[in-house]
Amino acid sequence: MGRTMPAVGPATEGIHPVLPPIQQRMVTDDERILIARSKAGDLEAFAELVRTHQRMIYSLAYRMSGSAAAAEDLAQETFILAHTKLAAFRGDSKCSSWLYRIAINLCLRWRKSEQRRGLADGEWALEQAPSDSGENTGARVQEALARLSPKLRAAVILTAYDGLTHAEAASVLGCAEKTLSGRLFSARRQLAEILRVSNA
Amino acid sequence: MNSNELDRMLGKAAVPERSDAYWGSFPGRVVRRIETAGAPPARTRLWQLGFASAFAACCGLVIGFVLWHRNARELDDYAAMRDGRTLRALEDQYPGRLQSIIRDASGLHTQLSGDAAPARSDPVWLEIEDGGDRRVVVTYSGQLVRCRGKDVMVLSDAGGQVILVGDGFLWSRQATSGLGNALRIQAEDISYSRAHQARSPQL
Repeated sequence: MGRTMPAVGPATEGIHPVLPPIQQRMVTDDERILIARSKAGDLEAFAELVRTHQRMIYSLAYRMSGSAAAAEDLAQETFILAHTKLAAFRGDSKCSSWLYRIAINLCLRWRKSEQRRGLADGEWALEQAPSDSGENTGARVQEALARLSPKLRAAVILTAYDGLTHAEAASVLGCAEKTLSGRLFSARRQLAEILRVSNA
Repeated sequence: MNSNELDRMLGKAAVPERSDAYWGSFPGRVVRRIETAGAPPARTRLWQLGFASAFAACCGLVIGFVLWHRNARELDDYAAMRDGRTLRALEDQYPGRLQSIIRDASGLHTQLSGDAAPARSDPVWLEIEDGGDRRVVVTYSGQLVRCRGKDVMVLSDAGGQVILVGDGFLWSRQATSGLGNALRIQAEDISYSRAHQARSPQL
């Protein structure tokens, strides 16, 4: 459902974000209260936080892993890890940015462990999401994304699909904004080339 | 493929839809895993404990080695000053210019004169302990050393007796004045004691 929301807000480098930009998902007072209650051990409040962000984290995990099963595991792991780190969350960044950071790190670690097992890239092409156009374009794009290095892929996903600004994506990935811009440039060039070849 | 075409294609890669039931039960599944997980797995904690212990042991070894090495070097410096090795080496390096060699907590220092002196008096070894500070000085009779913030002249006579004399300050083995309780001085004419030791076996 979250994936079919209309593109709103300023696009990053001309890419149409599928989710609304992160600026529009500000931490509300309700969220602050939920965080405070969760810190106090209220699991019901934490479940509410999970409910708020579950689609966003699942989508990120799916695009990073390319597997629905892995995405579910990674999304659950993200929230479990977030719960253990909740005491350290001071609220000086957005809850969504904080969750993105945890999820991205988990996905990058997952990629490494899967690559050691030689599984990650093989599974990607097997699970193809239904594309909006009903054609095979969506699957080809996901294959192309899979061929990018995890860091380049993360840069594209955070900006193009999740609508983060360069500064926000750089903060999530723990790199400088210039580095992020460089990665995006490189990723887009590689994607264009891969898609051009697959189209031919 | 231009930028707009690429953006259009990226927009077509959708994430598989999940049912409302799936999303409705997702928070519950997360909470159940949190409840069953409880504390972090013991294996992780043991691993962390092992790593921390190994790291602490490595740190301890490194600190121990550094302290031992520093102490050994300090002892070696004192021995070399006492038996005249340091003095001979520095005299060779700075002929006629060496005024004193000082070893304190910060290391070995030398005091040199601008011009070479044609004739040198006998070298004198001094150990000055003032409270917690220990200083060993090798100098020549007639030179000044700092003691309790005052310049004190070091004198040695033909019999190997050393006297320190300053403003309101006198020290010799037999008599002292103007010294506080915490100040302890030992002094020896190195050339006299060496000559005396060399003669002793023949007596």
